[in-house]
Amino acid sequence: MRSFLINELEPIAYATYMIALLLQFNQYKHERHWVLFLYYFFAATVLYAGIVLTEDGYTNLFPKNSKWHILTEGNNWSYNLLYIVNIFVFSWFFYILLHDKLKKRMVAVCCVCNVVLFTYVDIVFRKFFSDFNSTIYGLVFLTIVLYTLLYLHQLLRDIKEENLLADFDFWLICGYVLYYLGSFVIVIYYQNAGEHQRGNIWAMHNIILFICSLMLLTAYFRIPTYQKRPL
Amino acid sequence: MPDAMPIILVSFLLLVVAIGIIMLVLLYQKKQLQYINEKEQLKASFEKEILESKLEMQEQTMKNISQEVHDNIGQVLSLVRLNINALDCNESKPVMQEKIKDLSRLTGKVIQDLRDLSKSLHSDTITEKGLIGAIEYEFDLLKKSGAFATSLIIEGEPYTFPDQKELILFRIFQEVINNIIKHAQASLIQVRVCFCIDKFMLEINDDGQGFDVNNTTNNGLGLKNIRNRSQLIGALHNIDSQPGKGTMIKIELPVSYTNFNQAMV
Ligand SMILES: Nc1ncnc2c1ncn2[C@@H]1O[C@H](COP(=O)(O)OP(=O)(O)O)[C@@H](O)[C@H]1O
Ligand SMILES: [Mg+2]
Repeated sequence: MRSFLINELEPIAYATYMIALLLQFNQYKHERHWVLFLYYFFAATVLYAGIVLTEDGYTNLFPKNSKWHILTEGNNWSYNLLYIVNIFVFSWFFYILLHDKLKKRMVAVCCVCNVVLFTYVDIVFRKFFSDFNSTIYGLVFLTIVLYTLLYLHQLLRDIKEENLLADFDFWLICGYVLYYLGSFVIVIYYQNAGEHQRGNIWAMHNIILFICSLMLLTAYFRIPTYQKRPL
Repeated sequence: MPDAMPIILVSFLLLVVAIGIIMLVLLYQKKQLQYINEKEQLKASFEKEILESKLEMQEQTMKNISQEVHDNIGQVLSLVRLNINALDCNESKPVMQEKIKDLSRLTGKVIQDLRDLSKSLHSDTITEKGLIGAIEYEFDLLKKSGAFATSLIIEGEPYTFPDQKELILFRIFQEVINNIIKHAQASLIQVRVCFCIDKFMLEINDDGQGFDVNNTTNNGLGLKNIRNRSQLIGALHNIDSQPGKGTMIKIELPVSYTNFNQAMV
């Protein structure tokens, strides 16, 4: 059970997200959902590649002197790659969702700050392959939490007649507040935790991710009934 | 057991966030209810205003028609009777023929006027004729009365607005003309209608005695309605007048792209 929570639950959660986003995109054709779908697909692939390439059987996949060999020496690069993709995808996503000029500008500034930080740590200091810096990872999570708060603020400022619960993006973003706030605390604890505790923490992370993805998928199927109810 | 610390902390945090989200939804729904109520009130007041405009317009149209019957048709028929009474059977045949031709022409004009009148009684003016038709009709009556020098300029290719907006615009036009007749002592009335690409514009000028726009004693129900109603349909109004300098009233209604498209179809 513990092993399931630590290992298998994460890909299942990613798959659930992908299904929900694909269904939503298929029905309403909003570009942003397609982009998020691609993001989850990409994230799952990269994380999987990171794990597989460091397994014993694959360490000789690339010759020792090839520049690709570094990929098999550790999977930190997969997290760092996701970190930068994360910034771009979610900044774009919220940039589109927010109407207010000021809010858009805040997103842009946050995005630039994070990119600068990434460039500084991972490229100038060449930590891309060698290190997983959980503090700056936590910072991205916090940034995304900030984005979600901006969105929720916008919701309250700009009341619409439609039922809020029938809004796919609302469910998506509620999931993100939960997930990214949780992940922020988790990633901060993770770096100082022992081996066993890391397992526990990671299981927790996966459970939150799974709950959020399930929430989104359920919401997708519930939305038609919410739409019929005025409030 | 410090090992469980992060898990407890995260769980607690997420619980707080979840409660926060639920409260947000409740708050949203409360605000939504308020918003919907307000919107319905707004809609009700809009409908009331429309209804009032409609009644006023009909009343004004009736007045115009009674005027038309009295001034025009009555006048011409009196003339016809006068001519008939003056007919002298002893006159020479060509003279007689000429006089009878005149009579026939006058009667023909009365018949035509009556036809027009019955048509205008038949139709719900604004929906049948459209805004520009209604304005032209009203303007014709004004011209016929002969009390003013008039000019009507229509620029651009006419497009239409939703019926309710046209009704309000027309009612504003009527009120302005009415005010000129009642208060201005003008000799010239100029109307300019522009179906511009980005906006509809209605400008009415008179060369009458003018009035002090800022003096609130001059603000009767008519001007108040013009202000309220142009706001209601999202139009800008500009009332410009000074004692002795005539009056200019301008209504501008921005044309949204979709609206314009609709109009083009
Ligand atoms: N074209 C005009 N020329 C001169 N005075 C005008 C004109 N239009 C309006 N006014 C003045 O503004 C006042 C308010 O007009 P209005 O609000 O229509 O009320 P009402 O017509 O019932 O008097 C009028 O009493 C008149 O003194
Ligand atoms: Mg008046």
